[in-house]
Amino acid sequence: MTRLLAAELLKLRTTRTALGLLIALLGIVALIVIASLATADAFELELEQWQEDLFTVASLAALFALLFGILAITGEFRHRTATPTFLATPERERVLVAKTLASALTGVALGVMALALTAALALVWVSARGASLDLGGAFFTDALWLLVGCALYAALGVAVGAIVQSQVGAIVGTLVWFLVVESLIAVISDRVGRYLPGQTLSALTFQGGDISRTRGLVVGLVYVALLGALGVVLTRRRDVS
Amino acid sequence: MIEVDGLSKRYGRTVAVDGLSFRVEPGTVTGFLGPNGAGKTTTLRVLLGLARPSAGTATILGRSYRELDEPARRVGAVLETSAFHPGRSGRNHLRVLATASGLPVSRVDEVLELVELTGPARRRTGGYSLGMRQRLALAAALLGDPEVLVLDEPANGLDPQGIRWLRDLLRGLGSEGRTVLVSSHVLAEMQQTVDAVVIIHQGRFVTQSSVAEVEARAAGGVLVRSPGAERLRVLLVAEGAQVTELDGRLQVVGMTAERVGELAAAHGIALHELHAESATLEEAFLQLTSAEALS
Repeated sequence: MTRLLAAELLKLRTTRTALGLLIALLGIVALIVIASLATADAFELELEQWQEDLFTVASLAALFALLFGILAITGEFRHRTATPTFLATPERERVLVAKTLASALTGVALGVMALALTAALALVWVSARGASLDLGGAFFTDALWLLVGCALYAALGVAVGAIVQSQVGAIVGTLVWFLVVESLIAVISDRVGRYLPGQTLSALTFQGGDISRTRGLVVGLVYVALLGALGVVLTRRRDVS
Repeated sequence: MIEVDGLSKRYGRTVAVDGLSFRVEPGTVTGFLGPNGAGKTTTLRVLLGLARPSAGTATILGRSYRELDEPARRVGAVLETSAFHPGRSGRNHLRVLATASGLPVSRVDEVLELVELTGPARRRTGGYSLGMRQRLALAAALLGDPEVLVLDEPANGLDPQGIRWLRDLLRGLGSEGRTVLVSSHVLAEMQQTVDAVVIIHQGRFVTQSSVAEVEARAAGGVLVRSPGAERLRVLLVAEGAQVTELDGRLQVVGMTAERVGELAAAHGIALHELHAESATLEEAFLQLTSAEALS
């Protein structure tokens, strides 16, 4: 497994996909953080709550982690590198596990970068305005949960990508599910809605959900395990073309 | 070594491979021949564990590919030509495969040298020519120094120099005692490269034999032009040959050119032309896979 993980990490370092996603994420985060800082008044800048809310934008890292997970697996089918990959490792489930781990690590890295950039911008701006950045222990707990969320989102992306295989299909399908289907179900039944994958995982980010983070983690892990298992079964059974 | 037994593969109602059986002996270079759409690629994909058979088995070294330990060290394969990420360099593609198979990175540079791709290896594969892709695919197959090579149309996209290079490479691999199964729909590429051929058509087995045997089987007979054609014809038929008239010449089947000449000489018949038709593998192949040959 070590060498498969090393191979997966090498894969993501040798194309520009991961780097492109990172740059896009950091660009958006920088834009939103700077806009928030620039439009804040002196009173807000001092507020611990306001400072913490600034980090909400770093939750975007979770969405990018999801996207990365989907791209990591569907790219193999799109570029037909699944053939050499599965020739080198005929136990396809091991490839999927390695890819899930590599994507989860990448997701965590995206989260760390987004948080670090937000913190750096905030620190510079707030100090320049003569105030101080005051992040309490609660912030660090939130930040750690976000990183857990990023890892889970990435793992979910690999599972969905393994099931759907089509890159466009997986991305569009996931977005439609998160933005349309879940909202629709939530309108019909709030009790069901809060346990849907998107809502569950969003409980782990700064945005928060309607359930506790511990519960979000447990339910989220169940989703990842179930979809991952389906992905493994389908990937093992299907012909690689 | 490579054993295909009663293999069938159906896609919906289309039968791609239909009860195919053959064996490839160790240490031979075997051509896997058939027209486009004969089921060669499908057979090789099943053999390599990438597709599931509908019926039958295909094994390498006595096991199905998925059951092989360290498959990259046992079996090297070339499948489709474009199976690279266009944004990844050729060298990095090989590094990924070497890492996954637990092979040292030094092997990457060795195989790149072997396929003469060291120069372009650091460029992205998106800009590679078809010939460069074939070389990279071959390099990937050779990474683990495998004893068995399964190559699907490796000559596709190679220029004449490239084909000669490939021929020498395959000969070299064969002389090292490796087992090579190489598919092609272009017979001329194979004639000087392979020891034996397996021919399939429409998913079914047609024949398996040495190249010489296939050529002999499809030999066209002996052509004779003679002013005494009528007398000669009677003599030939009396000796048991089948004779047909063709553009003012006699086509003799079932008798060697030597015997025709001797017979003519013994009866004082002048010959203006005596010519044994030597069939190329191409002709043999066309003959064997033509509709009549199969019915």
